[in-house]
Amino acid sequence: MNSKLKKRKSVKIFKSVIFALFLREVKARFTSSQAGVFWTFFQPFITIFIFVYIHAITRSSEINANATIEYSIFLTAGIIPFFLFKSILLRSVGAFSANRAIFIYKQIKPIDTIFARVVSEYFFSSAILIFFLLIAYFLNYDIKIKNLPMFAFAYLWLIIFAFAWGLLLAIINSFYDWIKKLLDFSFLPLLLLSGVFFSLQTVADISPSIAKLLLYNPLIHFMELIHGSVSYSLDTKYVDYNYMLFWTFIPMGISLWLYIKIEKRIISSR
Amino acid sequence: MIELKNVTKFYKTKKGKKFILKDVSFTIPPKVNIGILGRNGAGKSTFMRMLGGIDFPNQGTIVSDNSFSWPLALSGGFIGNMTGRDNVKFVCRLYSKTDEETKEIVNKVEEFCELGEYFDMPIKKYSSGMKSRVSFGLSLSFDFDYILIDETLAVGDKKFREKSKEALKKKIEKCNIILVSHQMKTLKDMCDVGILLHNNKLTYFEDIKDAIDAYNEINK
Repeated sequence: MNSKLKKRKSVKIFKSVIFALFLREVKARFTSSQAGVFWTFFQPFITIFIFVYIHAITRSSEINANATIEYSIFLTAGIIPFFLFKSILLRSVGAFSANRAIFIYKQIKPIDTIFARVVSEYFFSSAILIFFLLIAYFLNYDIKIKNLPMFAFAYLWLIIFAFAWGLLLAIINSFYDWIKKLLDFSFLPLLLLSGVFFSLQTVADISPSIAKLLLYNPLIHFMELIHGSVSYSLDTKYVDYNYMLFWTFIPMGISLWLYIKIEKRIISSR
Repeated sequence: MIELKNVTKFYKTKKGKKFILKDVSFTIPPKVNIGILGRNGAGKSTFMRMLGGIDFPNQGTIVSDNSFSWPLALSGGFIGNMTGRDNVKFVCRLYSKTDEETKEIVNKVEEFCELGEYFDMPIKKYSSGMKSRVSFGLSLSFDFDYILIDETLAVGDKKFREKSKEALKKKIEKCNIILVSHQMKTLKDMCDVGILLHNNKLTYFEDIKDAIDAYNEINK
């Protein structure tokens, strides 16, 4: 009897599954609709454009090109990770129900579909980053990043943070499917409250108590860390690493624990 | 060889637990083609899914060192917005096939399923018959110890049904099948032994004909 199939090592199976699912995500984005490709690149672009525009008109008295360039780099550095966070959450939350049909292949574990979506969103996000760097290059922007390893570190941590929350939401969504709708509505307030287009220092200069309130949002710590590692005129003094660790590993622990408990139920539910 | 150890399987319903198997211990001997019979709702498909590793006993374990295909059923197994061809490639990747093997399998399936240009159209446009053509052709292209088939032989037009049967007969020279069907003729043609699921018990028959007789008995 042929036993080639059952001798595959579990690491190899895992790699094959993630690779197959990843290719499928990429293919789906680039073949199913042209709109998908368009939005992947232009949604962050348009958002940045709007904010730069608002910034330019509200400060028309002191307008100068350097400030605008600096602000657009500041915005780009925050918005690309923010959109990555957003799309990881949005793609994770429905991952189980969207992939129900292919759980008949026993090597596909539900959590793999989330891994694959995180990896593919990271892939798209990197593509957007390169796209923006190319634009900046052709516009002769002078881009100096203060601390590139720190930026990469913050970016990576944000992905882990997003994965933990994405998995948790996906699990909750498999019992209460209004979670997905709630999530759709929560991104605009989150965008406004997460320090994507302002630095916390500017808020603290006006009202220290509001700044203190904003710091309860873990995402603003990520944004402060990212901004502080990119821009020479900013620092990371508001970043509370313990707070970030707390909001990463508590949801991670809870979601993994829940996942282990209900994995079989997710696979066998029809 | 497939070993069931104290297997209990039930579904929770509003009226309480609906049992499919209750503390069943049993060993299915190796290298036989197995037909599974039972009335609707007896748990044939669930039993099949448990063998395929995508459903799980509430208590007890099912142990086997053989490889099983995914359960070929009328629904499931495909990504709707991908073409038939891309779905075949996807499954090949799941099973860690090399590019060359994948190419070979894609060609084989394309030839077998005779879907013409539909093969390059999204699966969501397929009828269930067309889907099972692809999924059947695909399962024949892999080397499993057991192929799990849930009623899919009954779909498609007559010509294709005959063709599938012939292909399957050739395939079972090298591997075995576990077949759920309500068609007694198919069971007789394909299977050596029979398992009857009835009243949350599992009865094994060394001859498929005896299993069919017993099944007809409970349907009286």
